[in-house]
Amino acid sequence: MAETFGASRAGPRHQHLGLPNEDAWGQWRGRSGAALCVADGVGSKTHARESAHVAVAVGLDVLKSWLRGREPTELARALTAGWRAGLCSGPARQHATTFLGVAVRPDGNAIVMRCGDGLIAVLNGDHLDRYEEADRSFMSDTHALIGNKGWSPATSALPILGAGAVIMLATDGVADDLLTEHLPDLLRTLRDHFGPLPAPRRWRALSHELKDWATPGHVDDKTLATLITARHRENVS
Amino acid sequence: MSLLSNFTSRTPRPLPVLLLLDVSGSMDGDKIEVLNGSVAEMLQALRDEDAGAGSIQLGVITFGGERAVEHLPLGPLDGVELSPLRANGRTPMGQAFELARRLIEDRDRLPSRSYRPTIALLSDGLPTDSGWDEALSDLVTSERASKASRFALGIGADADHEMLVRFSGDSRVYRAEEASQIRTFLQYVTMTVTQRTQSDDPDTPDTPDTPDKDTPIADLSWDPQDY
Repeated sequence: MAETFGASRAGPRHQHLGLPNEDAWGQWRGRSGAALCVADGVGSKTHARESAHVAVAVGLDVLKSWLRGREPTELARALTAGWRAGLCSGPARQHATTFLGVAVRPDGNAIVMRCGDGLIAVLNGDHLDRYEEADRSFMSDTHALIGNKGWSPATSALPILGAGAVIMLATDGVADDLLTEHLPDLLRTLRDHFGPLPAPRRWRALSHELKDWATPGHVDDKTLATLITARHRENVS
Repeated sequence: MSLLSNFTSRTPRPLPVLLLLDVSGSMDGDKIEVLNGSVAEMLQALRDEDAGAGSIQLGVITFGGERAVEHLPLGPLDGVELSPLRANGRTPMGQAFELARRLIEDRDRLPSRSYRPTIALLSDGLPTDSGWDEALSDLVTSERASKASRFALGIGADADHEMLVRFSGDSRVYRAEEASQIRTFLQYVTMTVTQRTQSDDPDTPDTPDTPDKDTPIADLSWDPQDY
């Protein structure tokens, strides 16, 4: 069975202001496969936190439906509609969030969904693929699920994943500070160092990494989640 | 030791500030003297705010004589020494627009992890180089520069309000009737930058389009109907 894990922390700015983390993440594993998603509530919106949490809850359901046979072409609409229906607080226009998600079947078929900034990185053997916003000018430029309008998530099928493939989802608080030339090594570290740890210790270790983020002056909330396809332990050197 | 620190940038996300300064012959005398002092004050104020973090970056493009030049290349504030500005010749403002556009669109010099830049234009007259109109349009409609926070100050009676409004894109156009007011304008721009560094979201400017009436900058608000 695939392995999934992750962690999320409020950034220094929200901590200083006594505000909650506006990132969210979620995971699911079962006989039909594994699913993982992260979301980053848009800070200028009143209900950013709820936006992100609802996106994760709905996103996991949508990705699970694909694992059970739903057509990929139906997923974007299902996510958007389900997210809007799940919002409880205040007017729709005060909700917005990014969304990144992945689902992997036991046979290695996989799919990613994304709306907005952040990074999906896939290491399959020695080959790295990145899925991210292509037309981003500056740090805060992003598309997002928005309550009363907005962009539809993009859905892409991945190449068949082999044993020990690694998929990382990161919100922009993490992704924007990553050294792209070192991404393959980062994914291997997630798989080979964090992956084998017992779950509680792994979560604490990853949380600690997000807390002690090395980039000077960083302010954003941080979320990093990882999916490792089955039999990764056999490939650990 | 943090494992992930091996994979993360050790440089802060840049918050770029770019000044486009008129150093044509008409700026000679009090105006250039006040401008030199005000830019030095701005540099120190930004240094104090940045406190060595390396986040705020300052660049200065001057236009005077036959060409525009990068008087101070965009970069961190540490160790910066500004050479004095000298007024001379004509007003190649179009070249300054072109230089600014190329700098901001250059993702090697200004990576996409940067915060949106602040650009301030100060001029006491009209552009004199051919093609300035197109250069201005290219700047304000370019992918990245169009997202910058842009401020403009017209100095004296010959400044062109319409051109400055095109540059700033909204009502953030001010007018200095006296040279001393150049300092007020640059203090205001400095304040907007420091507010961003303290903001929950540095890319969402907190500066109101219409400053409070009691603030010094409000005295410089330029309504052409008043003149």
